[in-house]
This record gives sequence, C-alpha cells and structure tokens, in this order.
Amino acid sequence: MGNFASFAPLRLCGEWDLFGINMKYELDARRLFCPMPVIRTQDRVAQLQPGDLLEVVASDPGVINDIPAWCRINGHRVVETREENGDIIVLIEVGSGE
Amino acid sequence: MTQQRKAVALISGGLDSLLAAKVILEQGIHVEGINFFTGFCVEGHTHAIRKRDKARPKRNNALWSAEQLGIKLHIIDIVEEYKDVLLNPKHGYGANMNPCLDCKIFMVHKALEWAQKNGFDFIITGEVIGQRPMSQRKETMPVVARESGAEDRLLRPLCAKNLPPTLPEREGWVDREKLYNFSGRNRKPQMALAKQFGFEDYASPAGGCCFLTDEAYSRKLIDLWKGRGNREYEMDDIMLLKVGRHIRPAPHYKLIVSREEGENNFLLGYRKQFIHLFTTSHPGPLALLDGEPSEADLELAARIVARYGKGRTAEQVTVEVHFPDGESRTLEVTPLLPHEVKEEWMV
Ligand code: SF4
Repeated sequence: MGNFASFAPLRLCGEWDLFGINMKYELDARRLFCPMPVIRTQDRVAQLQPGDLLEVVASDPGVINDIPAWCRINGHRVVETREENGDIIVLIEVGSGE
Repeated sequence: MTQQRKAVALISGGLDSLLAAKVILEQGIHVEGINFFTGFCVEGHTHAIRKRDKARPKRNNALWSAEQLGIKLHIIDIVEEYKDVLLNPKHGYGANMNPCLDCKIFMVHKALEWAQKNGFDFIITGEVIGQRPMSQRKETMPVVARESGAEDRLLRPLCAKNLPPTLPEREGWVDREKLYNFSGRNRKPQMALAKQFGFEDYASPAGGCCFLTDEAYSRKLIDLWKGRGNREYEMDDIMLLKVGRHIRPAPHYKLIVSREEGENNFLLGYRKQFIHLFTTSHPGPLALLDGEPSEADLELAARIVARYGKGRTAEQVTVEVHFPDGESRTLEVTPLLPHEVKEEWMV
C-alpha cells in the first residue's frame, strides 16, 4: 500500500498527462544489471497509481524481456519499448495490480 | 464460507520450485511467488556483458516460472543482508563458496517475514530430500524449518509425504494425499510431473541457482578477499568477477583483462574507479588494475596487457595507463611472451 506522506511529493515531481489525471514518472536504471532494473521498477510502481506512466531507462538488454514479463505477471501494461542512444526505454502504464 | 488460504512460494527459476507451486495452486490455494536476489544469482547479468549474448537476451527463469503458473512474483533485493550469510555461515560451505544451508534458512526466514506482513498463511519450497548433498538432506529439512522460524508453516509439496504433516496439512488447507514423496537425486519423477502439468522448456533441472557453486568463480572470490586483506565486497566486485581474465602477478594487485568487445565496453564503465590500461599502437584489450602498483608493477602490467593485443609479436607496443584522478602516462613496452605469463598468476 502506498504511504501517503511520501507519495504526495512524488506526484509533484512527475508531469501531468493530457487529461490532468495521471502522471508520468521516470526511472533511471542505467548501469544496473538484471534483475536490478526489474526490482527498481517493481518498487517504484508500488508507489504509483493505476493509470500512471513510468518510463524506465536502462542499459542492460535483459530488460527487453524481463520488464514486459514482469508487467504481464503483475497486471501492468507495456505501452512501448524503444532504443535511444544505446539505452533501452520501456514505458509502462501502471495497472490495478489485479 | 471457508477462508481463502494463501501461500508464498520460493521461486528460484528451476523446475522444482515451479512444480511445488503448481501442486499447491492445483489445490485451490492462492499462491504468489517470491524470488531473492543475492547478487550471485545466475539469472540475468552476463548477457549484459558479453557481446555474443547480446543478440539473444536470456530470459529470467523466475519470471518465466511465475508466468507459466499465472501468479505474481515479488523479487526482493537481499544483496546487503546476504553478505552476513556468505561471510559467516553457521553451517559452513558446500563444495565451493556456497553456504547453501544458511542461505536456505535465510530465504525461508525472509519469506516468513514477507508472509506475515502480507497476510499469507504458509510457505512453499521446491526442496526434495536427498536432492542436494548439503542443504536438502533428511536431517537438514527440520533445521531449515526451525532456524528460519517458519516451523510447521513450511511445506515442501514434492517430498511432504516423507516428512511429518505440517500445519497446512493438519488443518486441511491442503490435502496431504495429493502431495508427493520424491527423494534422491533422480530427476525422473519431476520430469514426469512437469509433463503431466504441460510444462515444457523449463530451466535445466540440474542447474545450480548461483555462482557460488561454481569452482572458478569461488576461486576468484577467495583471491579477491586475500588480495584486499578483508572479506568485504560490493555489487561491482561480484560483477567484475564474472568478466575477463583475472591475472595476479603479485599479491598487491590484479589485472582484469577483457576477452572481447562486450567485456571491453563493460570494463570501460569502471574506468573512473580503477587504473586502466590499453594499447594504442595496436588494437588490444582494455584492462583494469585493482590494487596499488609500483612503477615496476605498472610496467609489467603494461607488458601483460600488450601480450593479449594484436601487437603481441611486435617488438614495442605503446600502452596508455590512466589513473582514476584523470592523470595518465604512456609506456613503451615489449609484450610478454606467452610462457612469461606465469600459470600461478592466472586466478
Ligand atoms: S546455490 Fe546459492 S542461492 Fe542456491 S541455496 Fe546454495 S548458496 Fe543459496
């Protein structure tokens, strides 16, 4: 369960989306090796609300498989996966956890 | 209405933990998986380093298992806490630096804490009596249950019938008759059960779960501790032991020489933490130097690095040495001949 006290400032550092309801966050998981990027993603997603977006930037190519697998298992959606300047970027939409 | 009972399953990515969780799921129990990352786990890692593995990133077998089972998986970072398990195992080590029994106790204990926090009733593992010489023996089964604190909330579905009934069995949450009595090193019963459940393409049944069972890796770890004069280690150390040739020409310093482009790039990421050397007159590897070398040591290190480059037969090779503080110098050296790289230097 999210802790409200620590949650409030977290939401302030994201960007509002078009509808002003959900937020977009970033997670820098570069130079971490699998499964650490997955663990960091998991811990960050636990602090977010359903519908929020999390953009994970990683350098380990293992995340191409591992983050989508983690999302499928845990009820989140991968919106897109792309490579940019040698980094791998995975955009996740947080699900309800069901 | 009867209460929906919940079990947390230790998922390693191997076949046994997959089957154990499936057996309990089949009995209508709500199961979620937990997977512990010690830093030494075989899952992940090396595909990030070696170039030839990059084209085909390896799957994480714990995630794969959870997906096959249709359960959630919680991956827990225990790198820091695990240090004490590795450095001070009450029950000692296995054939190499693997403190399997203490490791099992620790993981079951962590799973118990997680279960209590999240309202789960019991813990499942894929342990089978006699499967592993150190941690999975008839005598160690109660040790794990007792020392982890899980006591009779620890259920091993694959060999439960060879053990006294646990709480979930006594309370009728699970039907003991539908559990198994596997024992010994024979893998056939597990393979048959996998077939029955329709599991294919599972991870190598005999695969160890971590690098600490590996002889060469354990040797490098012991060498690292000896070289430093203490047994501390960080995640970077764990990673670097998996990369390159490790050469220790003297007790106070060691070279890590890359073997291919992927390792080169990987080691490059550590250039701000270590002295690093590379040849400039000829193509060659990148090497990190861990320790405090004298001038003469640096010269020898440069000759070793030159020996692994394209200029190995040249009379003179130019080697650049860079220090973490940004300083650098250039050395002109004669590459060592293959027989001059002493066997006892190779870690
Ligand atoms: S092989 Fe490694 S992870 Fe598995 S029980 Fe032994 S020490 Fe622990």
